[in-house]
Amino acid sequence: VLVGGYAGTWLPLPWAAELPLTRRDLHAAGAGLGAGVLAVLPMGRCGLAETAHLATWLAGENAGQCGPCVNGLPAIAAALRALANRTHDRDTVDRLRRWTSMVTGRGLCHHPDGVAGLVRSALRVFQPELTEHLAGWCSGVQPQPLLPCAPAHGRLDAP
Amino acid sequence: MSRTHRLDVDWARCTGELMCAELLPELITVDDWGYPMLPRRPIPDHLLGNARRARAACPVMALRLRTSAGVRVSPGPEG
Repeated sequence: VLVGGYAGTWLPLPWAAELPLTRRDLHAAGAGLGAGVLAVLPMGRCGLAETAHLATWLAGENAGQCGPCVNGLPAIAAALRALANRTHDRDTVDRLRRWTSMVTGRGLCHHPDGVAGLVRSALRVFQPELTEHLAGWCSGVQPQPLLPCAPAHGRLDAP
Repeated sequence: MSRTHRLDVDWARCTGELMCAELLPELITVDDWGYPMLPRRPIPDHLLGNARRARAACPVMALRLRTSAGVRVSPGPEG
C-alpha cells in the first residue's frame, strides 16, 4: 500500500491493513498522511516498476532550482528504471541507497526528501521483487504502470 | 557561553563552483553531481577562520554562516 501519495511511503499490505489511519500510528510506522492519498497495488503488479514510473514523473516535476535535486532525482529515477527493467549492474542498488541519502535535506523544499523516502521504502517493502530482479526475472504480469501521472510539463523558462 | 556556528547553503544560488570545498576540505565534501555537502555539526573553533574565507570566496554568495540561534552572521572584515 502506498500511503501519503506519490512522495509517500510503501507499507506491506498485511501490516498496513492493521494500521489505524492516524498521524501518530502512521508516524510510528515510518509513514505519513502526506497528500492524504492511499493506493493499493493489486496482485500481479511489480512494485519496483510502479515506483520507477512514479520516481520518473516526480524527477521531471522538480523545480529546476537546487543542484542536488536537479541532478539527483533523474539519476535516482534512471537507476530505479534500470532495476525495474533488469538492465541494472551490480552497483545499482548501492547507488540508489547512496543517492537517496545524498539528496535528502539538500534543497530549498522537501521534494527530494519525498522522492528519496518513496524509493527507500520501495527497496524495503519490495525486497522479494528486488531479489527476483537481481536474479534476472520479474513476477509482475502487467507491464503497464497502474498509478496515473499527469503529462510532464515543460520547464518554465525565464522571459 | 560561546556561540557555535554552522554552515548552510542557499541552494537556489549554489552553482557548484566548489570554492568552498577547495578552501574548507576538512568540513565540506562533494556529492556525486559536483555540489557541496555540508556538515550538520557546529564548525570547530579552529576552522572558523577558514569557514569565513570559504564564505567570502563563494562567487555566487551561496555559502552562509549561522550562529547556534540561527542568526546569520554578517561578513566581518575578513569577509
